[in-house]
This record gives sequence, structure tokens and C-alpha cells, in this order.
Amino acid sequence: MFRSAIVGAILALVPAAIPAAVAGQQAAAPKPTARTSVAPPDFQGYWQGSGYATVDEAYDLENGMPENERIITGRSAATTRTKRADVVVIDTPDRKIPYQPWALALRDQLAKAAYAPTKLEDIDSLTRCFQMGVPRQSFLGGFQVVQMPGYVFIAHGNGGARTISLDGRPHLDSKIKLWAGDSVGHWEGNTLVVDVTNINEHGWYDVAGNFHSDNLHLVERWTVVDANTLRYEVLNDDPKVFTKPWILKNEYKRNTEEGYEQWENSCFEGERGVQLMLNAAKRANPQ
Amino acid sequence: MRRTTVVLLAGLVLAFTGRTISAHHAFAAEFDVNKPVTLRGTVTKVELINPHGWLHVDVAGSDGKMTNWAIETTGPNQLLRRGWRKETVQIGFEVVVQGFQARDGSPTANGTSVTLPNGQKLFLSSAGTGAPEEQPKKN
Repeated sequence: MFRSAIVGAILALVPAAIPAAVAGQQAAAPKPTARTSVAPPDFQGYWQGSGYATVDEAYDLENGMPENERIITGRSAATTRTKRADVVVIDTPDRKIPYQPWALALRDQLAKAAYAPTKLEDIDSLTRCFQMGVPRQSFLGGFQVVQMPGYVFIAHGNGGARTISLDGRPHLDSKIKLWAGDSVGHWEGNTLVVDVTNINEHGWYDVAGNFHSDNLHLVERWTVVDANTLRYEVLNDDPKVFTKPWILKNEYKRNTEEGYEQWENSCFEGERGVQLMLNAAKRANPQ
Repeated sequence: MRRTTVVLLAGLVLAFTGRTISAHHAFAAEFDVNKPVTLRGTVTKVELINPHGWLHVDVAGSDGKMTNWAIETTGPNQLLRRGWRKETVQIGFEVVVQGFQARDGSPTANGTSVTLPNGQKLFLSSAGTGAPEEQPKKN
């Protein structure tokens, strides 16, 4: 109860805090990120994906974007880095997610259905205007970081938000499951280490059916490399689904575009794609 | 060789620009890559709504019958960041839209580009980054 009140109060303060943070960022050149023993690095502001994961990996972590998808969306093949040997998004020897056999079979089934959906459950959460959940929301679209005493707040441009508590509090009761989970973090030098639990099972990793259970436990490492570079690594541990913990990597650059703002993206305002997909299925299999 | 260089450069520029990426769903489940369409007609409605905008265009068929097509665009935020404004496409404009028809067979398409009466060609696709090198070349 007390915690809810605190979180509510912080959230209520965010709109007031954002303009000040933005104004500060725009008024001065990027600040050096050197820190003292008492001050964590300041990485407030807007960030965009720039390295490791591209829109291809956001679409399908293992295989990138299919060719027909690329053609329809007007995306040049030259912009994909999925096949590049030096790009490590999934840190396993074969760059594949280490699924248990039953889970791999289910993933393949989900992937097949995702490309030709016949029911709502075949379609990923973002398309259906739910949240992406963690860690997917860290792989698609930009985000804004706001730092406050005791908290780091991340607002994602594609929807979804994170409140990361820095006071070492215990996690929520394990029966509570949330899209963004329950995040408790601490600083280790220039790295914000975040322990995330209480994640629901509805958010996939991508469009292509890569999934986890509600037993997923994340350990995120947000490293402030320099004033304009943020590195992200997340350890994914889900003994129900994976044979071993594995790491996903991404990197962001600060968005230095003058006057940039993150705008509302109210997905449910006019979503029509889901119905078009299901209509296509009905037309293909009229029964 | 020159083409390869240009493509490579585009890839490199993209890698270092901090544009918002907005791809998110299986467009190929919704639209048919084997049914590219070029639609010439009159704009009847413009919807700048999330998560995707829509242009509605009256298109005359070969039999003279008029069909109102719905053209999906990227989201309004992306359109605005690419320079699109409310008055950019107006009702009554004669336009040429390129895209891919919906798999359900309805007069619905995912828009790749729209060419305005003044010859300006605007990129409509949903998965692009909005980066200049991804814009279609002007005719």
C-alpha cells in the first residue's frame, strides 16, 4: 500500500520533471559521464537503438526480417546486420535461444502462426496494442530516461514504462505478474544493474513467437559507456523454458536532435491491422 | 559497383543515425507481397491516427466504376518527423499511391509512397527509420 502510494507520487511527478530534464539537456553540450563515489552517471535524455539489434532483430531475434516483409515495408536489405558475424545479439555459440525441446517445438509453432495468424493469440502483443513487456521494449524504438533520487524511470516511445527502484527493496509477491515486471536496481560503477522479476507470460521477445514463461528472471546491465553511448546486456533465466541462462545485447546512442520530443503513441486509437490479418485467414480458409 | 557503394553507404549512415525505429508487426500477414498496386485517384479522407495513419482515395476502375481504397501509412508520429503536416495531403488532391494490397481482397493497401500533385513523392512505409537515405527518389 505504502509502496503503491510512493510509486504513484513519483509517476505523478514525472510530467513535471521531464521538461526540466529536457531543457537541461538541450541547453548544454553533452555532459561528461565521469562520476564520483556518491553520484551515479547522469544518462537522462533520449536514446535510440544504434548497434547490435536493428529493426531486423526486433522483428525476429534469431533470423531477422523475412524477405517478403522487407519488400512490403520498403526496407533495404542493406540495412540488415542480422547475418554479420561481428554482431552479437544472442550471446550463445550458435546465436540461437537455448530452448528446451518442447519449447523449441512451441516456438516453431508460434512462429508459423505469427506469419499466418488465424486467431488473436497468434499475434504478438504489440500488434494487438498491448505492451511489449520486458526485455522486448528495450529492443524496439527509442526511450527517455529520467533519473530521480531513488529511482530511474524509462518511458518507451512505443508505449510501456519502467520504474526502477534503487533502494534495495524486496521484490513483489511472486503471485503478482506485470508486463514490465518488478525492477530493483543498483549502480556498480557506470553500470546500472537491474534485477527484474514478476514478469507475465504474455510478452514475447519479438514478432516471431520467441517466448518465455512467467518464471522469467532478468538481470539487466545498463552501462553508460560515454555521454552518448549506452550499452545494454540482459541475462535471461527461465528454467521452465530455456536449458541455460543466455544473454541478449543491444547498444544505444543519445538522440541529440535539437528539439526532439517523445510523442504519444496511443496504439488503440485506430488499430485495424489485426482484423485485416484475421480476415486474410478467413479468406484463405473459408469454413 | 556504384550501386553497391551507394547501398553500403546508406547502410552505414543508418547505423550511425539515431532515428526512431517503428517496425512492429507482420505486415506480410496483412498484405500480399505478390499484389503490388499503383493507384491513381482523388483523396477523400486523411486519418492521422495511431498506430497507423490512413489515406482514402477514390480510384476509377477500367469499367469506370469508382472504388474507395484505404491506404495504410506509417504512424502519425513518423509522418510528422518526416516533414508531413496536416495540410500536406488534402481532400481533393489527385495522387498516385504505390503499395501492396491486403490479403483479404478488400480495397485496402499498405502504402509504400504517395506522389502529390506537385510531383513530391512521400515515403509511407511503416518499417523504415525515416532516415533520408531511405526516402524514395523523386521522379
